[in-house]
Order: sequence, then C-alpha cells, then structure tokens
Amino acid sequence: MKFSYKLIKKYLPEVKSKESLVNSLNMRAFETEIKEGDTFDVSVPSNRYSNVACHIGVAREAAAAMNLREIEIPKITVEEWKGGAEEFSLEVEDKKLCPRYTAWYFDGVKISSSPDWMQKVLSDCGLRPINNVVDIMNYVMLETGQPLHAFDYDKIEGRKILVRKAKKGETITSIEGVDYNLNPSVLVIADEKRPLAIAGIKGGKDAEITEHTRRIVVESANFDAVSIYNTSKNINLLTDASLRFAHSIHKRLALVGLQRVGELLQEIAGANPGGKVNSSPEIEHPRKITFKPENFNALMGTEFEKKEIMGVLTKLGFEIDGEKIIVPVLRDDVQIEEDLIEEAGRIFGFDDIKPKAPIVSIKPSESDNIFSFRSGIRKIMVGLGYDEVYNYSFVGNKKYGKVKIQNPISEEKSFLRATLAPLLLKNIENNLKYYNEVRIFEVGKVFGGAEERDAIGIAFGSRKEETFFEIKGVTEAFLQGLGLTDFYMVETEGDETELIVKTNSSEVGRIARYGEGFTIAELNADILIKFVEEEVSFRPLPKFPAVLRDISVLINEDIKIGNVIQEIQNVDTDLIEDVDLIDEYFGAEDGKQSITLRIRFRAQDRTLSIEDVDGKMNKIQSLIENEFRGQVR
Amino acid sequence: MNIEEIKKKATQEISSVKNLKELEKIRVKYLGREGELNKVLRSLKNLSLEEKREVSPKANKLKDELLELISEKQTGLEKKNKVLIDATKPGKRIQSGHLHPLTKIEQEVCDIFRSMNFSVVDGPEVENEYYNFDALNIPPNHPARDEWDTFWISKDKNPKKSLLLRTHTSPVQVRYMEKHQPPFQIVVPGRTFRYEATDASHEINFYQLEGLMVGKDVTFANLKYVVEEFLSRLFFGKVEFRFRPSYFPFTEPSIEVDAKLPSTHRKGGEWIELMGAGMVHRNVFDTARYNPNEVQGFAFGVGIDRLAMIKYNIPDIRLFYSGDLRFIRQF
Repeated sequence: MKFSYKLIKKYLPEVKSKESLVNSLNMRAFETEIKEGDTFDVSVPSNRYSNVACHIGVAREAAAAMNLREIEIPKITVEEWKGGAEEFSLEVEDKKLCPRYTAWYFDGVKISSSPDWMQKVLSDCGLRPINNVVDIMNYVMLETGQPLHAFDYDKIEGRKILVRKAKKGETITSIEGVDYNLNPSVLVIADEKRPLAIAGIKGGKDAEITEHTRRIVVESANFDAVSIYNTSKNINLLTDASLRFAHSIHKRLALVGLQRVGELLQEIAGANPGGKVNSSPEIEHPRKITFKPENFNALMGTEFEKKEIMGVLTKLGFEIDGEKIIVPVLRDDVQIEEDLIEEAGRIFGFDDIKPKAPIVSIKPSESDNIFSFRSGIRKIMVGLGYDEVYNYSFVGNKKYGKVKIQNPISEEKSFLRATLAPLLLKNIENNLKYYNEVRIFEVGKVFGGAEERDAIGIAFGSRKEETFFEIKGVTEAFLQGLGLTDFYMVETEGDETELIVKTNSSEVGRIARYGEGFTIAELNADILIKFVEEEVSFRPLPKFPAVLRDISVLINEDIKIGNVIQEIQNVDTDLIEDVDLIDEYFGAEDGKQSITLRIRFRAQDRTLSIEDVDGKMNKIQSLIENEFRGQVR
Repeated sequence: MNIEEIKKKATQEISSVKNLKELEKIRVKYLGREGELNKVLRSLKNLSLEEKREVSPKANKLKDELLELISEKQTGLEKKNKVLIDATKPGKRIQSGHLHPLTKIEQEVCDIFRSMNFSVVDGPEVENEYYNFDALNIPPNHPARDEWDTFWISKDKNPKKSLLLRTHTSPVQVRYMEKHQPPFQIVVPGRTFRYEATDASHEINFYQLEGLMVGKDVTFANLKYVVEEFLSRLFFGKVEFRFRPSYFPFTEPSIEVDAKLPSTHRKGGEWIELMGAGMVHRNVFDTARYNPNEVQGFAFGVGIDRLAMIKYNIPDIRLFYSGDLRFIRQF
C-alpha cells in the first residue's frame, strides 16, 4: 500500500528522511519499501487493516519505532451519538452484512479542485485527483483507513438510502462506466428505485458527484469482511475500499471517518452540515488483557525490567490498569498476551535480542527412514554414472496422470504425474542435442490416485547403441546395491519390450524400451524400502576354486536366451554358481542365433574334479539338443 | 639337473638375457609345467620320505627366488625398452554421475540440523485444506489465504476432505504434533506448490524446509541462535543477519530473517529476505491438543531453491527443473 512521506513528515516533524523512516518501520513495525519521489510502500500485515492501512496509524508506529516526542497527528474524537435527519431516511436490511452505517447530509457544496497539498498526498499514494469532494473522501481514507463515499443528494430517488441485497437481474453501471450484473449475494446501497453503489466496493454512475452537485450525502459504513471478500472475487473487482473491508476493519472507524470528513468538507468545500444518522449508535469499549511482564522474558528468553516493558507498550498507546493492559479500540489485532509480547518485542527490536543456544536432551533424534533410503538410492545411481534430474510434478496427458488439477497453470500441466517416465523421456530427447549418450535418474513423488508414493526412474538414451540391456543391468546393480538379492524379472504378457521386476512375488517396478535408443526403468521406492530394511549378513568366502566352462550353441532365434540360462541353472542348482552370456551372433545360419555362455561351477565342500564338471556339461549339452533343438559347437 | 645346478644356470641366464621374449623363454624352461624345476619335483615320487622332506622345501624356495629375479629383470628390461607409460597423457575419462544441486543443498541443510539433534521428517505433497490452512490459524474466506496461491484438486465443505497441493511445509507442524509429545525438534524438507506465473525467481513447484522446536522453555532467543547457527554454517560464517517483525497467522511474534553476504558474492552487499519464523501461536498448539500454557516453541520456513541459488550463484530458479545436463553436471 502506497504512503506519502510528505504527510507523515507533517505529522512527525522530527523525522529526518524517508530512508530513516522506512528503515525504522522495517526493523520495528512491518515490511516497508522506498519508492520514487515522496512515496513509500507498506506491506500492511493482513491483521492490521484497522489500524495501519492509513497515515495516522503508520505515523503512530513510526513515532514509537523512532522514539519521537513531537507528534502532530490530528486528534479525531469520537463519542456516542444516534443522530437523526430530516433530509433523508436510512434503512439497513441486514445488520450482519452491514454492522454500521453512518451518513451525513451537506448542502452549499462548491465543487472545484482540491488544494495542492491534498492533491500531492493523493498522487503520492497513486490516486488521481478528481474534485474537492471526491478528493476529500479519498484523503480521509488515506488518513484514517476508513473508505468513504459521497452521493449526489439530488439524484437519490425518494430521499431514501436502503442497504439491501441486490435483486435478481439488477445491474449497476460504475463511475468508470463498467456494467455489473448483480445477484442476491451482493450487498448494495440503493434508493427507492435502483442500486447506487456496490456496498464497500464501488460507487455507481447514477448518483455520482459532478460539477453541478450542490447537495451531498456522505457514507461512512462498515461491511462484513467475508461478504465483501467473496463479492469482490466473484465480480472480479478489487478496489481500495474492498481491500480494506475484506481484511475486516473495525466498525469504530466508520465514526472516525465521518467525523474527519465532516471537518474537511466544511473547511475546504464550504459545505454546511445537516442531519446525520447512525445505524449502530452504541460505542465500543476497549478490551483489557491480563499481562505479566515475566511472561515476556519467559517467551523471549530475555531479562528486561517490568518498567522497561510497560514503558514500551505505553509508547504504542496501550494503557496500564493494574494487572491488565487496556488495548486501544482500533487495535483489534491485539487479542492475547503473546500479541502484547510481540508489540513490546518489536519496539525493543528483535534484532537486538541476544541469541541463546537451546538446551536439549541428548536423546537421539529419529529421522524418517525414507530420507536415508532416498540418499542411498542417489549414492548408488551417481556411482553407476547417472546424473540426477528434478522434473515438474505435472503432466498434460491423461495417460500419465490420474489426479486432475482444478485450476491448472496450463494444459500441459493439468494432471499430477502418476509416472516419472514421460518427463524423463523428454529430458533425454532434449539432452541428446548436446550429448551422444544420456544417463539420468530421478527420485520423486508420483500420484496414483488418492495415495502418493516415492518412485525411482532410471533412464538411458543413446544415439548409437541398444539401451535396454544397460538399463536391465543397471537395475540389477542398483537393486543389489540396495541390498536386495532375491529379485527376478519376467516378461510382460503381450509386450516384448517390457520386463516386470519382482521380489517375493510383488511387483517393484518395470523396465520398458521406448523405441530405438530409449529405455526407462521405474521402481516403487515405497515397496523396495520394506524389503531392504533387513540387515545384511555375512556369507563365508568360497573355500574351493571355481571351474569355468564356455559353451557355444546354435539355436533358433525365437528361443529366449533367458530361458536357456534358467534351464541350465536348473541342471544343478548346487554346483552351477552362475551362467552368463558372453557372446551372441545373428546370421550364421538363417533363422538361427549363435550364443556363447560361460558357466561357473563350484562346490562348497571340495575341489571339483574334471569328471564332476564333464558330467554336468554332458547333461547341459543334451538339454540344449533335446529341449531347445540346438546344436552345441 | 639337481636343485643347485638349476639355481646356478637359471641365475646366470636371467642376468645375461637381453629382451623380454628371451626372458619368457627362460621362465618356461625352468618354471613352466614341463620345466626343470617341475621335473625335479616329479622325480621326488621315487624318493624316500626323508629325501622328499629335504628336497621339496628347497625346490619351493628356489621357485620363489627365480620368480623374484625374473620380475626384477622384467622391470629393468621394460624401463630400458621404454615400454614405460607416458604419465603426462590425459587420464581415462571416467563418467561419474552428478547429484542435483537441490539434493546437495538439502543434504547439507539436513546435516547441519542433524548435528543440532533435529530429526528429519517427511510429509505428504497432496495435503488437505485443514492442515494447510485451518490448523495453522489461517481463517477461511480471508485475504490472508490469498497470500498462498493454491492448486486445488477437490473442494469440499469439510476442510479435511478438501484436497490441494501443499503451499508450504508448515502443515507438517500440526501433523507431527498430533502424534508426538514435546520436547522435540524437527525439520521437514519437501516439495511445495504455488499457483503463480513462473519467472527467474518463481516456480510452480519448489522446495521448502520447515523447522519446529517445542518444549517447556524454548524461547525466541533460542530461535535466533538456531537460525544464525544454521545460516552461518551453510554460508561458511561470512554472513550478517537482520531480524525484522513480520506477520504470519501461525506464529506470534513473527519475524522475517534477512541475510547479507560478502560483497564478493553475486548477491553480496545487500539484504536478502531468507526466511520467515516466529514463536508458535497458541491456537496452533491448541489445535494439536497441547496445553498452550505449558509448552512454547518456535517454527521457521526457508526456501531451499533460494538457498541453492544464493549459495551456487544460480540466476534462474527454472534451471532446477529443466533437466538440462549442461547445468546439472556443474555440481
């Protein structure tokens, strides 16, 4: 919210510069920023619109923050009054949506331009000067924080002001000439015939102040925050007034604003005051909060004297009444003792409070397992030569996402990803512009409906070589690295380019080949973590040497090598330690493949004899010839 | 030949040999399967046990000696023949993977907090409206909620059934307190989401770290200590701090922490807003069914992407999510 340094300087003559003002407010009140010229910007905290969305409030904060003595803030005294007017009547239909409505009749108004000093303040705050009456309304809003509105009295049909809900199908044209369709959720200010303003948001053209205006009615009211907030969103119209009302400003401000606007209309526009009305005459009494200065020290970790703490609070306008603190009426943000602690703390300066190391028990901390698991995953993958990527949690294709975003930022980000694969594929494509081979992985949440889980994606793309078997091997190395030993891979039925990775008969992931040069393995970390949490236990080192035998075989090319290896292992699961494919060749004969397998034999209790191994090799040979119709070379 | 003869002849031949090929021939001649030494060993079959005991160790000792001699000679010949490597040639290019910079910084940050006995805790990315807002004292239908631009998944009158993408890691505060009793101190790193236009410093998904410490007498002075300790360690001590008043519905008092890095740094010499923090609001304790008169604590939140951008001099947050290896391989 923009503020005028000129006006603050007028209230607080001791202030030396805009910079020192902004700095003090920053360090002891709220976030403030220097802008061009005499302007500065305050990020008004969302609970302080009743008391600092205005120059008077900011000046009070600055006076306390800078410890100033000379204070020339206008004193606006408010007392209880009911009023009454012959010139017009008022009816408030819904007291919940409009807790207070006050209005004041003036005649003899001379419309002209407002004085230069007022125009300067308005333009510092980003408002355009219009004429003296409208400018006074805006100026008083800047001064006090109360939005105000002036109606041309002669355009009010029936001399009656009605605060009511809009009727179905009603419309209003704003001062700027924009038409709005209204409905019964919108509160309006109306005369006998039509709406004159959207309550708390915008005035209408029909009762606008013009150069011919001589008699006016000024509104200073309070409206329900939630209703204004919702209406302002629904009709998509945010104004200085709606911003303030939506943040729930105190209904006392309506009295303050009316009082001040009355003074200035007489002073500047030569207006004669007439009757005024108030829908809620009873005046609000200040709140009292029990406050123990020792609680300040207990929460802040400080050792201030009671006198110091109380002294700081009085600087901000709080009064002391024995054990209690009397809170100024407009400080509706101060509700509990901690609020008072914050008030005193910030004026002392949070920056000046001495840091102290906390005293904690040496009971070891207990982190969630998933963090060490994720970091283990990353260590293995980086060790295997893979680079880590982070992708968006969003995808555009329904195929890859099950959870739809109600308000997506764009079409291609309208679902939560159910799989890491599509974005990894894209990463590979992009990176193949710069590299011949791309090895990447990602650890991230995927969303398969209501539940979310950690997934691991491992992807390899290459311009020159088949990628499937590297990913298959990397997946094996990865799972072994995690400490998982009893996993296996089976083909997906009906899809020759996909393998399912299983352990203990549950699926932990899949390896899929996406055309030439792209393969991705995607694993479910939430399942994996359950299987690898067991301790690793030592196995004795082999005592006896292994015997290696190679065997070259010519078989039909439709025979799966995985099956051949499996069957060979089954020949003797005790003595055959490992079977590996070391060479393969197509085209020796039509429709045939030539493969070389290396078989490692080892016994746990003796050195194998040549006869032992030859016996097994004979069995393997007949297996290949009979079961696989192959030919051993 | 007997052992002594073999020793004498072999030693002589090895010392006079001129090249590696000849040396290999000598090795085969004496030590090969059909070599002289094996012949001696094989002939032992016919000898008595005493004789075997005498000859066998000698033969083995000689074998070791000859192997040693051959190896020395080999090294010598290699040097002479300049088979030796040129150590100035480039090393073989070994491709190691790279961790993402956000992983690196998250690990570094968590390590710092673990060293101060904080536990690292996880929370869901799809959150309900209750934990994201209501439980944190952020009222419904209030402009305060607009400060967290939200991606919605489903809206429901019951805030516990209303689903969204968490806009901050703060919901884990109440989730954790509901299941644990103080005293404790935790940090919660994780992905968060904001519905907003992206630019060099804004992303729709990014990472935050939440901190929460609760006990009987955890104070604001403790908060300052932990925050300063954390940032000093992360930025190697070369950092100044500033603590300013701020407003968050879930803390009271609330502060903003600014840091200033040395002027040699890209962002050095100016105050940078780094984190929000404060003392946990009694309404939040109340929501978690703690007695607000018996516990007190602090909470803070910091953007991990932002820390990484400052620490590694990264000008644009979008690089983190680009998957561009030219970027990632720098870390």
